[in-house]
Amino acid sequence: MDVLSIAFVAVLMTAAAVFVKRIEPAMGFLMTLLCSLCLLFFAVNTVAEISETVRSSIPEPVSGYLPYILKTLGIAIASETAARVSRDAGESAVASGIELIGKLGILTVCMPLIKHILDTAISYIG
Amino acid sequence: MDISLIIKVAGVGLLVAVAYVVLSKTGRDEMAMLVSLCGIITVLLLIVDKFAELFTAIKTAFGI
Repeated sequence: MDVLSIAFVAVLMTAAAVFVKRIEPAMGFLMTLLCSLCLLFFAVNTVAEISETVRSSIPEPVSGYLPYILKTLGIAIASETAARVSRDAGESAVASGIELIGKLGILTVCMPLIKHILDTAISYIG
Repeated sequence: MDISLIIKVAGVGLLVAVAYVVLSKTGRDEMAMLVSLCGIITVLLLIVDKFAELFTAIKTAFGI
């Protein structure tokens, strides 16, 4: 499926969800949620293809950092999508919680990198 | 995950909305509520599967 047909279907689904939301808000939210899930699924498949290309073409020292970048990207995409869907449903407290967890998750994933940078800096200073 | 699921859920949503409006206008509010509840449960059951599939795809694509 190409971008145009995905965008077209997403707009149709949004129109249907807006109509249904006026009558039955829970059902409209579920329709919006499903649309976001499908779009996210296509995005993840595209990122998987891109990362394969990048992994095969960048040189060796830099490619060691690619797993950190990919994990950070994955956590950011998932947490941002979940937070936006919650905010659309009016639950901004839940959305803030999801964003906080996403930030902490990214920090946890990048800890080895931060430790490496700190060790290098300390070795230069001391 | 393909187009047919989106069309199915949109169809179920529109059908439930129309049924809700018709039933509540004719005075059968409890029937309208039951129909909307059934629609929500149906869509939830359709979605839960896709959630699991999506998170597996994220795990394998990003190596988390």
